[in-house]
Amino acid sequence: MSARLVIAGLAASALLLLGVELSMGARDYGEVHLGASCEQTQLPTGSGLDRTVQRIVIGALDQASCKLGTTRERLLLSLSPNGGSRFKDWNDADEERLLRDSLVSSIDEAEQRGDLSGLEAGILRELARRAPVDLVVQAATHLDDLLGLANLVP
Amino acid sequence: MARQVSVPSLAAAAVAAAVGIAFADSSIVVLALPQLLDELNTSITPVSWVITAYNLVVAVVALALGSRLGRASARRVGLAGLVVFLAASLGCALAGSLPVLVTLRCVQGVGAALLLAASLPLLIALTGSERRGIAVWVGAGGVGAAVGPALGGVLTEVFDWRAIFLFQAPVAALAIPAVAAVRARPLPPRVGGRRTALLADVGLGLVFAGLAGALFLVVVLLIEVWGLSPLTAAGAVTALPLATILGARLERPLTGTRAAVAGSLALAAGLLGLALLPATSVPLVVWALALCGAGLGLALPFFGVRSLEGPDLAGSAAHSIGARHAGLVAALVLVAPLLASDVTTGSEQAALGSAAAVLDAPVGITDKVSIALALNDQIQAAPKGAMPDVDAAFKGRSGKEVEQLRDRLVSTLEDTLTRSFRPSFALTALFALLAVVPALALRRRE
Repeated sequence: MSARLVIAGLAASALLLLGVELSMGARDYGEVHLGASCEQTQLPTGSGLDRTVQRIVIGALDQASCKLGTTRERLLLSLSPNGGSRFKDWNDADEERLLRDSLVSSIDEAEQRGDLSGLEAGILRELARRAPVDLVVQAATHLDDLLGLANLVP
Repeated sequence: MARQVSVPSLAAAAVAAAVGIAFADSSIVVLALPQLLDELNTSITPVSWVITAYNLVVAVVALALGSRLGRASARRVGLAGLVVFLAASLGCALAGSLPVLVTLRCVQGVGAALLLAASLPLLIALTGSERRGIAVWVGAGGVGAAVGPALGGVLTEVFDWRAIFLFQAPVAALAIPAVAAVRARPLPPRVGGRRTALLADVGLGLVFAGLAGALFLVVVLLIEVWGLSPLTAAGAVTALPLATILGARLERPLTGTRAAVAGSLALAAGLLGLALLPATSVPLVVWALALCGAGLGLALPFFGVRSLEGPDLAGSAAHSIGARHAGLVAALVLVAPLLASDVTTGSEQAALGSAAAVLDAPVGITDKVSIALALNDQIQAAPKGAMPDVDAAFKGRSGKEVEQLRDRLVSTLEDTLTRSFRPSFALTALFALLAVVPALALRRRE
């Protein structure tokens, strides 16, 4: 095997490898693309209590993150008691108050859309204003049980 | 020059095997690190000292030995090295705690440095020719360095991490009678070549600093992020020693500086290929490692032989060993904080990407909240740079949408964490690329 052939083979193998990788999207690979703050997001569609709660919660996250100038993902993770503070990229704002206000606003919109009755909206508004955040999260993780109990009621 | 033409080639093979194992020890434990983490109940940074301590001690002892070795009996130094290496290997196999294991790895490093430094005059005596002795020494060193992770991975998967050290004991033991039978006379002083040897040592250090990417980073990526078993990872990294052997054969038509330049560039290109991985693709890793191995096989004989051109062959050999291990240690010292910083950022990005996937998934609010919280806990609990236990976040949940969300989260986490290795691979590629400079400087001297 000649020296030129060895060099040509190695160069071709190297260039081909890098070419294949770039053509497979190496440039953007592994990058996380999040929506910009205040970007309009598609709320979950469909009927039922679950979809209604999702629309209210995600709508509230969108509104609160917009006011804080962050993304809804960062705001959501900042609420975690386990290392959530590292996701805060905003200054000393009262995010809990902002989140409660956004939740109330999102409930108002759900009522206007006809997702909730006036009575349901009123109860939820009071919960959003007064219930401890931990309790709201706990309630969300046990919504199946709550829905199950609701179904037992004739 | 020592002459011992009548000594059987089996004895030379036994010494070459011991040299190969001592070089392989630089990276042989890397695929066993996850098992060591579990069994010795420790974390990544302390356990990485099992590798760093050995390389650091070999570098320091070999550089300190230097020209002192020329006056000593190679047979005595080699025997002392083998006995210390053998005893320390058995001790490592029995170690019950990390401090004991790291201490014994330091002792093993002392033995390896003595053995490696003395082995060149011994091999020259056993093969009956300086040229053949150097060729065997350089070849055993190159293949040994490249075969480490694959060999360690197979032994860990088939037996246990302790088997890595038990395996080394008979290899060292077999070399003892071979060395004891050699009557190697001190090598005569030679004229000049000190500057050539120094430039070649710089080249060796840079090649080995680059090799750290192919020896350590790849294994951490395959095991900790992609979740491959040690055996599968060992299969993938076997491409490195196989291509090193092939590369050494390719070196014949190239010869000289061209081999070193082509080898350094191929090693850099392979490492750049690892930096630019576009997916969790084992075939692409094998392809990149094959380039790295071919590059190593081409560059190592050039730098290895020229690093021995000093006025004192035994001292030059000691410096050559020191330069290689110093290159590995320097790369580890520089890459470790860079990788730690990048995987911290990568983990944060992975958590954000996962949160986006969870928010957009067509699953119920209960699943969304529970999965998001459980996943955040798993990301927090996972060691830095390691893949979190996604399945734990999905425990007790089923359904097509939930399965799709799980797959999407695994993909998001793997892709983001794989990307976080990019700057570290790129840094090791830069080291390999810089090896072109001493190669070209040596060309001007020839």
